[in-house]
Amino acid sequence: MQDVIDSHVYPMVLASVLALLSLGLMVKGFRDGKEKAEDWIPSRKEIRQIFFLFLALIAYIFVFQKLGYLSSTVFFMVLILKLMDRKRSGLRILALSLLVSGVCYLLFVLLFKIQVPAGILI
Amino acid sequence: MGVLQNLWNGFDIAISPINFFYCLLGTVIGNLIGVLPGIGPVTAMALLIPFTFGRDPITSIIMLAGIYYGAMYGGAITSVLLNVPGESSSVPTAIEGYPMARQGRAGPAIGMSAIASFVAGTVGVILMMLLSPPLAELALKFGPPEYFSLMILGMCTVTALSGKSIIKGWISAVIGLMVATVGIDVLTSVNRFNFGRPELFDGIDFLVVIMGVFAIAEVMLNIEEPEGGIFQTKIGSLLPTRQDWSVSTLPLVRGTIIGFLAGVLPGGGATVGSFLAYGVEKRVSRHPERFGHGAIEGIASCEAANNSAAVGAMIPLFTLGIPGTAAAAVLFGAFVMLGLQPGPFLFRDHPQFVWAVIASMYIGNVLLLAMNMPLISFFVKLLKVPYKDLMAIILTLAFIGTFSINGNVFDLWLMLIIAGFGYLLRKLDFSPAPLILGMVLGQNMEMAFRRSLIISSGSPSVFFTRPISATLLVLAALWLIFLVTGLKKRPVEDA
Repeated sequence: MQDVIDSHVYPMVLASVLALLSLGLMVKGFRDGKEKAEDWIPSRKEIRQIFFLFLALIAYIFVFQKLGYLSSTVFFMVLILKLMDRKRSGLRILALSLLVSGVCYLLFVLLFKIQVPAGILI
Repeated sequence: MGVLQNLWNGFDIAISPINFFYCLLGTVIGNLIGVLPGIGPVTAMALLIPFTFGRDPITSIIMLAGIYYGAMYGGAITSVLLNVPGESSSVPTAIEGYPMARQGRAGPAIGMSAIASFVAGTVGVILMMLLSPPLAELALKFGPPEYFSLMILGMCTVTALSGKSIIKGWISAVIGLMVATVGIDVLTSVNRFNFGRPELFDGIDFLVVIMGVFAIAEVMLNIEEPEGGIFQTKIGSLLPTRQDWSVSTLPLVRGTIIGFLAGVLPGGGATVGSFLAYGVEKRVSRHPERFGHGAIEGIASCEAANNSAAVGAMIPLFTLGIPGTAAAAVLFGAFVMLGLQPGPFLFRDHPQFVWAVIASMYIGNVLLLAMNMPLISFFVKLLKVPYKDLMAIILTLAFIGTFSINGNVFDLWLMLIIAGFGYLLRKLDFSPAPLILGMVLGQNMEMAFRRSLIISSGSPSVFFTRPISATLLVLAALWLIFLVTGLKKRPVEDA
């Protein structure tokens, strides 16, 4: 009976359950017929903003490894704040970014001693 | 006498300077976050778990629990002043509190919610104290089949009550269970689903998933949200008048009891509690026409219910090891990260731990009341922080928080992928709560499942022939049937 409790059984049970549930959802969707694909599609502007948000996060991961935590966080915050509100004054954005990054650096790196990649800057 | 002695020991630990400090910190942060619109308690707890690394487990849990009930507390303020409930469980407070604010009675509305929260939270803690030991005792008799069935029952209720569709809730839960199978299988040491990445040998960390599905996906969902203006009003005296009291005392008591019961039942949670309590008040009131136009008794019942439910939800977590809500699931995950397994064994083997957390909840409730009365004008100022700034801060915290778990960049990529996936799920109305629950319970569930089958040499009948197990499964089935046939309208999700 050893094969019954082997490590592949449980994931297969889960997969079968998921398949059944998905089937049920499809049947229900067709029967109701009320929902349209258009209801689920976000606006063009939202898609663009989310796309840029992802790009900014990807850039953050790369810059984080190259430059170091503090400088990359300032870079990311400026990027994201500018992205979300183009009209805002650059000085305020920079001030907020420096403040938040500084506090995070102080807490996580200096106080909690989390090992961050050693970059060109800090 | 045992309970009192234990509680006394608990207070002894909870009142120590370091624990007291973290209790204060947790409740303050939770309160702030409850006030800030757009960050739920789950996101708050996830973002702050990294801050508890390296501290004593008791201290960490005290702080996280503080964030949880502190957020419940703070949610009332935005409901009254902005008509924006910080949590779905504060919706009735907004329905009654916002009209009161427009009539210039914001003060008593906030004051009543603070007092109701305090009273209910305190009563909840006392009930918890009395109920938990016998429940843990009972759970100690459970074998693997009973545990498996209990988890099924817990999942049934959670998936059914969060979100609009039961099928979608279950799909979300099964996805969570599947995420939990990644990594080395504990029983046979076989590697599963790691695509050859050594980073995945230990499985996917639950914090990475929560950061993705809650923190980052939440920012993505709110990216287009228009900013609401704060309602400008004098807050005035916070104390409710004698007239207010005479209509609110009974609703407060009823709200406390209803909320507590809803919290104890897995999947009930604070939202169900507060809507139920509010509904009851509306029905028994001699002046139902007052409701919706600033009835302070509605606030009293709703706030009492959601706070006692928040406490009640800790009971299944501590005694059975089954979290009933997404927030309790995060606490569960935090326990496991700290090397503790919540459940009857925790109660038996580390009673001082459980009682210290319970005692800290009591202290936290007193702190919250003391804090909220004088600090109200400060909280009102906080409401003016632009959400866009908050988004940037949430993203940075999620980033460093995820990195700090294992110190590798792989987790960051994983978090991004999960965030994208989580966004799609939530956009398509799949509730994230069952997913988190499935994820934290996944490993226990699989072990219970496989151990049961070992006992029965492979026959699944073991789940139906053992009396307790069978009873639990029947309850689960009845609950599902009841929901499918009876309840058409369900409250919004309790994230």
